[in-house]
Amino acid sequence: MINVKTEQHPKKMSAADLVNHLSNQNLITDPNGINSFIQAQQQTPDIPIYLKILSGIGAFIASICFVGFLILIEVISFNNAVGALTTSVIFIVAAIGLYTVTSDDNSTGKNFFLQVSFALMGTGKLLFVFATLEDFGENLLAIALSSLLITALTYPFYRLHVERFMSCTGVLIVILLNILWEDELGLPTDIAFNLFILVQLIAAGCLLFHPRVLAFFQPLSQALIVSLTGSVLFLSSHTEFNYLDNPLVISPAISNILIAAALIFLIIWAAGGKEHIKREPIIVAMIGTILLALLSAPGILLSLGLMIFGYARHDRLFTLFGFLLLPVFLWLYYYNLDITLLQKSIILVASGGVMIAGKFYLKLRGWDRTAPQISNEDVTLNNKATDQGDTSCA
Amino acid sequence: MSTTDQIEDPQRSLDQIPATRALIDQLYSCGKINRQARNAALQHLIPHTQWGIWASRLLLGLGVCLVLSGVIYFFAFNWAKLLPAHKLGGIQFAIIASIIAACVCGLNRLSGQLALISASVFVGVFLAVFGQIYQTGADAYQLFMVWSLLILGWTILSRFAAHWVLWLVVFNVFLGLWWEQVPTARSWIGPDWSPLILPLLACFNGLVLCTRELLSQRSASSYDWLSAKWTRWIILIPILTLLNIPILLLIVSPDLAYEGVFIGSFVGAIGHICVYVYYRKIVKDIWSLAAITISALIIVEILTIRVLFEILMDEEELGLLLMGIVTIGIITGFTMYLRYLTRTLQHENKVSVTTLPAKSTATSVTTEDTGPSND
Repeated sequence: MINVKTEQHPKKMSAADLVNHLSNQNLITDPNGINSFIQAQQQTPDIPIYLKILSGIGAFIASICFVGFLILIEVISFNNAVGALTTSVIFIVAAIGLYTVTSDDNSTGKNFFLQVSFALMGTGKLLFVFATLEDFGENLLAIALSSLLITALTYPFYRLHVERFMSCTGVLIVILLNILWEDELGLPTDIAFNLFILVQLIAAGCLLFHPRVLAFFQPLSQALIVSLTGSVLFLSSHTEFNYLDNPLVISPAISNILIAAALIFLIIWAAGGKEHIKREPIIVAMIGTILLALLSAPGILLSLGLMIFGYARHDRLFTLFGFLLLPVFLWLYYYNLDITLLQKSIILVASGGVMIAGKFYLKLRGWDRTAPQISNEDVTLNNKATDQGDTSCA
Repeated sequence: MSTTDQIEDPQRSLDQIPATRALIDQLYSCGKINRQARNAALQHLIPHTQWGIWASRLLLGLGVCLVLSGVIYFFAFNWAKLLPAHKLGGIQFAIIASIIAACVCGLNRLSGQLALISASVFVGVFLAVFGQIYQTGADAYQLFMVWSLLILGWTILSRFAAHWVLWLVVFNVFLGLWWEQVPTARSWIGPDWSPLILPLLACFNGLVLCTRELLSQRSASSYDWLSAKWTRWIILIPILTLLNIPILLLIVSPDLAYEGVFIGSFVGAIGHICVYVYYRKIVKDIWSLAAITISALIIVEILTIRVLFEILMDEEELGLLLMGIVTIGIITGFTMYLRYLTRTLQHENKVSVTTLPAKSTATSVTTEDTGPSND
């Protein structure tokens, strides 16, 4: 005789618990209406991330093959921009048409045609960039403008999340490369880079924090985060990449201030709004952020920001992304310090000591407890004692 | 709405829908709740005390990592002014202090566990500094072998997944270095057999994974620390990579593939089947199945491209066109299969939950998360 075992997970709060809680406090008048609304919203859950990645990779490989094929049969000729432009428009229109026709289809062929449409869209966009390069000037700026134009034109009509995300990320990365390696913008690299960081922070902030922003913009907001990470990675790793033999050094001071300001805003938002700004833990968190900014560690600030955002939104993808980035940025920070190994070791031990002291400060103030009656000693490392919400990223 | 961004999902009751901040924001933005209700809901969902725990653990974990890195940097600097006796004495003191801290804090607390991990790291530092001072001439694999043996007891005692991860890394490095410095370097085996280390490592880690699965399914709460899913994926994904590499080597350059690659490919194929059957039939975990399916997809895709490349070497245009179409076909096939698996496992999960009391002594099926998370 063998035992059945259903693996138990830490308790999570359900929508029913939440509605009951609000109803008991007389904060809602129509709980049944809210229940129906929540159930209606849950009928179309997002597909898992691995399927998105899978279809994105497949469409990308297929697009490359199709572009190669079109070049070989001379449909695409670098001397015939009009022909390539016409082909690209045909491909894009065909992709949108195929997508529209098959999106409401539940037959088994749906997936195949959607993949075909995704690949056609990728091919069409690549062709569009080839075709318009000459008009825009055959440089990285031209690629940026061209890809921005075609992405903006297709974004409202082609609703595939992963395609929108890939296109937006591509555009932002090309803009970043353009800032780093081209002088076409007419701005000093330092100013252009910091402006780019600022624009990305503002755009990501508006899209991620404003409760009335539609899901339509979700791929764009995710692309902004990826691009922002890429920008900060360049900023933090100049001694490794040396910007591809271009000895260009951008001072991190302004980016530091911008990202620290964004993190302070994030902490206030996560705390529940500016009415909570005078609470002691919030003040301590803000002081910590300012100290990190003084240490000139934009990468660490960014990864902490992603972890805080992910935790506050219950969005594990962001939490995991921040968690993975944190050791990378920490390593880059200490590796890039222009001091001897001995001095580095002292700084590492000292900063580690400060963090452990911070942990004991939290304990001293009683902020690291789930509830006043539960001692911190009983909070086990396996995260089992969390009675509300979900505190794990695994 | 039915787009590719969504999958068909049976109606879920409110009890099955997790409450998230996104859900609260959605209710607020659609005018279903007012600002006061939103703030109350947020406070109920994410109480401020939870932030304290989160920050406390982050600070402690990061702090210990930074201190340990600092100590490693310090001894790597090999400060000439420091006498050898002081170096070794200092590390020994750190080991003893860590053990005392672990005993004082207790191994049921994060601080105690991290203290024990620190002791394990200091053992490695001690062995490295010992080799540095006395120039023993020992091979690098011996350091890792002794290190893994010395810390094995603490690792078993710790009942802490992160400690096991450290031990596994040390032991895998030992196996890799041993293969390179003993059988290969001493010509016990020819260069054709050197890729055999990949299936060897996969088999060793496979054994560890089996142990993890067996122990985590036990009802005894003493193995709760193993039930976190990341402990599965952190072993499974490297295993799949190790199983995959010989197969890809065989496909990409069959002319250069000798005994080691052939055996590695055979073990790789068998290994893929074994883990698939295990996670499909016994432990129903869609995320593990997705990882196995993606690994298989990489093999099928590379094999197809290789075959098309060989057959249509002179017909480049047709070859590229077919590669594009076949890629779409393969991805579609695997995507559909994964969707089917998701639905089937959700259904099986539901059936197993409803029949749980009646069949509680008749089956060994362990059901796990089978549906895609909305979070």
